Amino acid sequence: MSCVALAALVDYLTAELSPDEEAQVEEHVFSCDDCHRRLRAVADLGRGVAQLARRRGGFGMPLTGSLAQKLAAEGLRVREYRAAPGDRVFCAVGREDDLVVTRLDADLAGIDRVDLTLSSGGRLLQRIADAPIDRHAGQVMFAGSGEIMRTWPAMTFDVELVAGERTIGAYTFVHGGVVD
Amino acid sequence: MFLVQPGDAAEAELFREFAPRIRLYGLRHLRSEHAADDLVQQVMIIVLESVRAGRVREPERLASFVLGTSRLVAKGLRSGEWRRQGLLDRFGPTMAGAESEPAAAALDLDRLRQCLDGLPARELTVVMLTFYAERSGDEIASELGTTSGNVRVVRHRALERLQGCMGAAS
Repeated sequence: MSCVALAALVDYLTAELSPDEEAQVEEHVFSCDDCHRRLRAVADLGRGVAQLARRRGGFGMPLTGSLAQKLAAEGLRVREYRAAPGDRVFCAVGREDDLVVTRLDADLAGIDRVDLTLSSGGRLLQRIADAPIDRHAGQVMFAGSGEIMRTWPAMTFDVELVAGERTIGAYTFVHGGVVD
Repeated sequence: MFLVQPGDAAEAELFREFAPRIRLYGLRHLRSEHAADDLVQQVMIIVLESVRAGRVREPERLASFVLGTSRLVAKGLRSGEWRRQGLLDRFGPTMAGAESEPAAAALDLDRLRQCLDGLPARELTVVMLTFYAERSGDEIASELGTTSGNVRVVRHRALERLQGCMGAAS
């Protein structure tokens, strides 16, 4: 077998290969120093990702329900807010919060792609293109790092979910700063 | 003629060469750092014993032998049957004296964080679901309302970007 492509190394680690393909990769990796080194590099990246997710202070990211569950189960301090379209939500970040999770309800039926925009005072602060939709929960979720959010002043955010040209949800979050 | 002489520094070198490979195999198949470490110990005991006894004579067959032993022992570990504790006494010094992996540079987590921040949202989510939440491709596909084939493509792209960002050659 010639050297293993990155895609196959990733598929090997994530158990996506057929038994025959897996056996071929293993036989090659056990005898090829370069491919072994490359496989280790991918495995190390995977471990690094998990370490970062668990870090105190939180790692801001788009979320799904299973990610949110695992973060909470592992003892990260998570504060959650949920909003339906049109809601005005008063929110804050705790002194010890690792993550602040926002769950946005919306009618996502038949929608393949949604972009999320975050604005304040009419100024666009962030745009998340193709934000993952949690189909089980029927929500778009994201997590803000507690560490970073504690540096924010009190301010009001406008969040929109946009599908193509259509706004499918608009939400207002009144961030009050840090609470005990 | 033996592949290596008993007690030879080459035994320590064998350990250094194959322990990381066995460990990766263990992580993949046993899904636990502890079990992977256990696998390394058990497999290397057998390999070193076999080499000392002259049962593996051709260097070109050694890698296959180690892999085959890893498969057998992993199967035994999964079923809870495998223990060769007695041999640890004979080979403990060899393994204790050899670093199982060269002192690889620790992953720069701050840099990785920046690289992850630079990923498109969907790729970041798939990466997190894969390596942190340890969800299967099918589970991720179901949660995100896509196909497992699409999950694989997104994951490949993400890893390629991460490796490029971290400066590793793929």
